[in-house]
Amino acid sequence: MSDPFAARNAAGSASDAAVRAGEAAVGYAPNKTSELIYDEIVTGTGSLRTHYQPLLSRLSPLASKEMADRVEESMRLLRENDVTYTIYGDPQSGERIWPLDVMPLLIPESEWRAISAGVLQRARLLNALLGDIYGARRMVAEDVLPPALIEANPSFMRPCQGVVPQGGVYLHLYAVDLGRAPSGQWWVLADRTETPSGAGYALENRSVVGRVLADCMADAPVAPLTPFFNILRDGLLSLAPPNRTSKDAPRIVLLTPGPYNETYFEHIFLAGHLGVTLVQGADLMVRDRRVYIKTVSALEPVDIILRRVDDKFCDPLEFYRDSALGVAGLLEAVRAGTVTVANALGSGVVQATAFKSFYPSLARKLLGEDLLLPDVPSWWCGQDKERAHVLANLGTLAVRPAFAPVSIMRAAAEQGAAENIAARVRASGIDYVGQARMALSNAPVWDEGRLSPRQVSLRVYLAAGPDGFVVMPGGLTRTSNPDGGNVSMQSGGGSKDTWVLSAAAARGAGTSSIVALPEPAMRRLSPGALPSRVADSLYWTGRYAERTTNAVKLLRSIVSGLTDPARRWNLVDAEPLLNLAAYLQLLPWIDPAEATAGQVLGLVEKALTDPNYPSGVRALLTQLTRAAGSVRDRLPTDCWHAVSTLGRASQHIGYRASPVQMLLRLNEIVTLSTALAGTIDETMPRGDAWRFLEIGKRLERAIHLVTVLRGMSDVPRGAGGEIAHVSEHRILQAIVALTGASLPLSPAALDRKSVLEAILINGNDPRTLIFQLTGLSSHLACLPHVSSGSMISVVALAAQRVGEAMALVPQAVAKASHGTLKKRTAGAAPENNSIRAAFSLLDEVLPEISNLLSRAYFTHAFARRA
Amino acid sequence: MRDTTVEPAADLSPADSAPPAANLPMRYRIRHKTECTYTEEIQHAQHTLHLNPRALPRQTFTKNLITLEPPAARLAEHIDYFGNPITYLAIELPHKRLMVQVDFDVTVTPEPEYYAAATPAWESIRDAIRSPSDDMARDSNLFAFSSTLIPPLPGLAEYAMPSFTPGRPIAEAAFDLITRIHKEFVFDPVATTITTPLGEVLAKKRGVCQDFAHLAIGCMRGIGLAARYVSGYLRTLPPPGKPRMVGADATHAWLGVWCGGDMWIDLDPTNGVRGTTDMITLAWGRDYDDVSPMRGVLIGGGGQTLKVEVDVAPLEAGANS
Repeated sequence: MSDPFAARNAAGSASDAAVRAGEAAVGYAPNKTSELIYDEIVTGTGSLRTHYQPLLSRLSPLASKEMADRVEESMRLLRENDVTYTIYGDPQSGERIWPLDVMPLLIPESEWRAISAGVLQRARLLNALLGDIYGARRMVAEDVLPPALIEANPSFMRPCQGVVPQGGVYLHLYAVDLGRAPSGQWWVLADRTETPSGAGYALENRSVVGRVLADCMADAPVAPLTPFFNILRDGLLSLAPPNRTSKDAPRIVLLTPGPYNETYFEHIFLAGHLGVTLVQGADLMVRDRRVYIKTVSALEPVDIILRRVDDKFCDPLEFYRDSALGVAGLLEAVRAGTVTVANALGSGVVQATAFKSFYPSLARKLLGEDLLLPDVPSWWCGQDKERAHVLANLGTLAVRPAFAPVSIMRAAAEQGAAENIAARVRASGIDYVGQARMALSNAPVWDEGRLSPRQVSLRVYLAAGPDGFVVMPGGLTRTSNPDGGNVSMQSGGGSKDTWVLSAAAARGAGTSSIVALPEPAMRRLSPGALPSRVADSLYWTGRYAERTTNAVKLLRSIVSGLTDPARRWNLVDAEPLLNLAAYLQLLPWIDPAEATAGQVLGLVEKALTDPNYPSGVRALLTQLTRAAGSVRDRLPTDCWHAVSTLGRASQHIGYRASPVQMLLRLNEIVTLSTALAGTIDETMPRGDAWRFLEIGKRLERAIHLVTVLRGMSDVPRGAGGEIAHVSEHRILQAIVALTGASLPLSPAALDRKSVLEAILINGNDPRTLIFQLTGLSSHLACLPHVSSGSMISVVALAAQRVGEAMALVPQAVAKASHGTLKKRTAGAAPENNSIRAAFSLLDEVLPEISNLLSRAYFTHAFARRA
Repeated sequence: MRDTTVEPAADLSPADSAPPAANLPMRYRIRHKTECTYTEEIQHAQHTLHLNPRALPRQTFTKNLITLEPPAARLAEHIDYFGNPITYLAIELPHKRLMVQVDFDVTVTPEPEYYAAATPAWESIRDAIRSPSDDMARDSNLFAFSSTLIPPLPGLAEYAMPSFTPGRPIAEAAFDLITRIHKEFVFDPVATTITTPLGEVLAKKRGVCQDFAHLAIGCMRGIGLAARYVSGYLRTLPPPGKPRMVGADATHAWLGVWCGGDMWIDLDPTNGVRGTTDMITLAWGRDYDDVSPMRGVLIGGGGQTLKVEVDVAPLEAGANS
């Protein structure tokens, strides 16, 4: 047999009986439905493969209870580490916990050597092909490659033609999807050359499985993964651009599309692991044909960009115009030799399935070598002979888009549309590729208490290190969903850790963990430097957190007032709170004379649970999670935990609740939001990041206090705008109930002046208006001065406005009488006018501060199309 | 079936279809002024410009000048994928107005004369594009596939077919196609904008020169041929006794069609004519998007208004330069 793996498949069943016993204990039955499937752990004759024996001899004696415990442990670790991913097109999903099966995929050393050699060659091949496509085009001129593969390829980036990346390296990080054919041979399913994802998940899988199966790993020579990431980073550093700004060590950033990307977790994780700054497009700008990161204090040069943004979104000036994810002028900076982009811009072009059938001849022409790892047999329908072959074999071949990378085995779905496909292939052959259908190998996954077979594919990663390409000894194994359909995270599949069994590599790990690796010569962003976009999001995190707390407290006061038998509120008692809720658009206007308590509770429930209610609690929590999520890497872990717990609380309130349940839920959200505030207080270092959060919180609270005093009393009700007359005593009571103002007097003796003093000017109480203004004033004084001259005055102006308000409010309160607030519409007393004047000023000043801050620090973050 | 190789047939009289307007070279002085005014200050702007004219065997330039207000902090000249000059422009100081003016003199010599009936059958050109065997056929692939503004609509091939009857010489068929577009479509500057999709132009049978060029290109690509979008200018004032051409007061657009070998012919569907010395080529690409005169990304600013002035003045009518 010529198949190098076939021989070993048959061998290695030393003590079949013992193995079968073990197998029975584990309870794994390989897929018997088809002879044409390779099983990763069991041979065709039903015995365990040799390289699995040590692992299964350890796992087998374990009762399924213990196995279940290990699975549970892994889930908990993933949840605690917030290892998540997002499913596109599923609005309900939000973030999901990364699906990891604890049973690793094992690959013996000899087999791995063949895979390594194959993918290393492929990395050189694809890199050379990219150089040819964006350079001399020899492969087209010599008729190896039809020009249509490039010209009709939507991933071909014309502006990159002739731009040679530093060192000729296009693929700094490259991934190959492999699948094992029934013969045991590994085949290439797809190439990921643009922004390969998953290496970080592979590392995270290892860290979880390494802990959960620590005992099993101890006696297996498992190659470690972390050295690979050091090589990736060192490789990037070695390719620093020639025309850098400074002679300092180069600075690397990781460019992410942001929190809506399916693998945002991985971007945070990788940035952390590599020790580089995570940025979004809005954080960067090109000036003087150089890339800078915009911080609230200065522009800091960037030398190397490891990107997770697709080619066409990277530069709205030269690629897709409407992209908000990229950096305008990035390609021009690359041309000027001031920045290295990894992978090189345009490298997505060779992901296309259409190239597959050309690799054997490309390998011979470009490398002078025979292709080591075969591709799944493919026929590009842009050629007459190939198209005819595909049309004649539609029953057995899968037809896939020519210009998209495909790794997913989607046989069932494609068969249904066979008729249609023939017509499309005939009409536009260049857009299709026919491929042999391949039954992927199976491996066991732990599924509801037993091991059952699933299809697997293996994503292998390569990095361009300082001395050439290097393979990560391991990879991301992905498993199909239970229906056996797609091997893809996006369609409900799972993942596995991948153990390359290599005595040499494992020994290497032992030494490297003792000898500390030298710190790389790499410039990091100074710890205090805060990107403008981050400052903006932190500010809004502060505002939304406070806004949520205020809204929930208001709803809670209403519900508790109306349902507490001790208080026996009727709707008229709740009127000031209802007015305020309407003013805040949390509830519609309610006339206490016309409504019932039951109706009000129904409306509160809607404000609390309805995701489509624009100013409701769920909407606020979504805004909060969004703002905080986009700066998640900047928040202490516990802070982000507090935010995500709070965010999740909103997802569970979508049921019809009794008043008691509603009250409990409201209490829980208040508790969680208080916990968030506390966590921020306890964990955030007192730098600019914390300051922008604080400014957001203080400003929002100040605005809320002004709103409380306005919204309860000056109520034009309904369309007529007729003013509602609300008993002042009730208003005062409501204010106390809501703000928790510390008042020495008994509720019966409430008077206006003491209430105003208590909620406005008591400088020791962190809930008062003056406390917020004092805080704002001192935070503004500490903010970094923006280098541009006009900006300093903007911040100074904001500080000055706060100062005015601080002076005016105590004066106004001092003038207020102890009398009643009634008759304020006509012939208002002068002292009330001064209160009103103070409020008018605040109404104007507080939003203005927000605008001024935004002009000084945030707006420069956002570019637009001309 | 006709031979796929083509001679520009200099010895045959150009008696078919529209005779060339003039056989003599023309000299023009061209000014192209673009003025953007913004309602709020722009802090930082980057633009790419396709405003420097492309040098061609048929076109020679003198006195090429670009004037900028405010002056650019960065100006870099490159050649784009299609061989056009492209300018990178960055203005790194606050501004509320940007003026870009290009001045140049150009001499245009007529397209080599050709006898449309002697061009190869269109099917042979289609096959040469699909299985290219020389560099010229390979290069035609640059313009053979759908692009951003010219998607593969089924209606396009359908519209093309009456002109592309079996075995018909490609130049003759292509001229027939643009003649039909000229007759059946209404020039209507308010019917479309730059963002109007091609399908809508086809359905409404209305549009401007960009739309008609896109339409004709889409028709040709739809049946496997290669056609490129040409942006340029028309002389502003017609020669004595001739009507003023549509599109003379702004940039104009037409198409180039590959007829095999090194033969590309210009066709103007807006005016229903073949290429003449009244047409000055600025740049070419797959569609407008590849060669739009100005494209930019701004930081800051509110609304903007754009004013474009084009003046194409003959220096000496019919002069030999």
